[in-house]
Amino acid sequence: MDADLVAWCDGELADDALAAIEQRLRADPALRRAAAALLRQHLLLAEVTSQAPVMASPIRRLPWRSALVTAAAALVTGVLLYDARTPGPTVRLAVVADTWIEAKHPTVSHGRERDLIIAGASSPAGECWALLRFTMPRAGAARLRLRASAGGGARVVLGSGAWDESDARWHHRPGLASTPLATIPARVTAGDVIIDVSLPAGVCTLVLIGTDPQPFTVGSREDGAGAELELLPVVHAR
Amino acid sequence: MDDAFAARIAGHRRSLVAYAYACGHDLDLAEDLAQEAVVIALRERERYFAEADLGAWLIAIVRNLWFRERTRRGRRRHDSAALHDLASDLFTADDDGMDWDGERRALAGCLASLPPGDRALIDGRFADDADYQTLAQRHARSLVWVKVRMHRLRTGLLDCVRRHLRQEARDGR
Repeated sequence: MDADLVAWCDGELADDALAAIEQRLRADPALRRAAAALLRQHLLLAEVTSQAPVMASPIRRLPWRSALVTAAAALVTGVLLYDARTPGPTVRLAVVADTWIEAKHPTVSHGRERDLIIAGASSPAGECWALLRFTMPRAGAARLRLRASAGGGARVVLGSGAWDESDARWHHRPGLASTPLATIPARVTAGDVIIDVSLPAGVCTLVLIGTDPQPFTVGSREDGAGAELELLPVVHAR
Repeated sequence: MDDAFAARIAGHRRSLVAYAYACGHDLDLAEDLAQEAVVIALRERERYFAEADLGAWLIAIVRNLWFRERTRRGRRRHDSAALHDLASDLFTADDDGMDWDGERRALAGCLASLPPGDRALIDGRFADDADYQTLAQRHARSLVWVKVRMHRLRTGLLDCVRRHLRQEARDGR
């Protein structure tokens, strides 16, 4: 692969160089395969760096709306079940806002990205935190489910202070409770990570703080696979 | 609505966005053009013959939409005739056969590991939509340096993503 092919993908070749690479592309299937890989990467780079969501559905932004509807429905259902005072109901809450922030780029926001990056301070990426917001219908125990890549571990800490998904930045990061709620161990394979936490009622911010040099990612709600909380049943005394 | 046909079209959607983005270097426009192409294809499905290459037909719709848009916007970057002539070859892989999500996830991880200067160059090009000349001024380097550096970075990222995907495959994902 040569520099002209990359520049061609970027629309940066003019005149003679453009004509030459076009001629080679028309004649060389291997070069076309290389170009196809670059063009695919071209789109992914634009999406990842500009925080645009990628929708699995032809209808744009549907997963985002679905997540909201799911969250609202789960919240209403949770309240109703709670009020019914019946032991045993399981309520799932979808994350209502999520993003990640990075110490090395303290003024950059990532609110619309599909992957939330978490890394420790000793990582080449610098310290990266993921922020997850849930609305708890009641205080209590809950099970946090994350779709995580392989990678380093993290601490899960309760955050304080308001943050806006579309504009959260390191400079205005939430405050942290002094004691972690849980820890996420380092993993060699990707998959669901499930951890138990105990949370207060109302709006809760969970901050995932990387503890290892190796970064990892968790799915965001824009991905249609954002974090979920499963409220554990409350058994009332008779 | 023919659900099977709609599902087949949806299977090509990411490739359509990739082609539209290569045309205009504008992510919002690319999403809009791809979505418009899907709507047109569903509306005009009677014109599609089952034996024909669905991907090539959809690419042709995006191409026509882009030509209309290009006329309206005026050219900004150097437009490549070969990009459009070869588009069927470059973009028609059915998305079902492509691990877009896996590539994207791997790419995010690879980007996170880049040194700050390299990350700034990539962000400048893709998040800020800066051209090479602007990047050269921003980094106080020559145009050739930007071109060579971008080539090394893009090649390195391709290799990094392949390594991640191979590792995931070995891990059984």
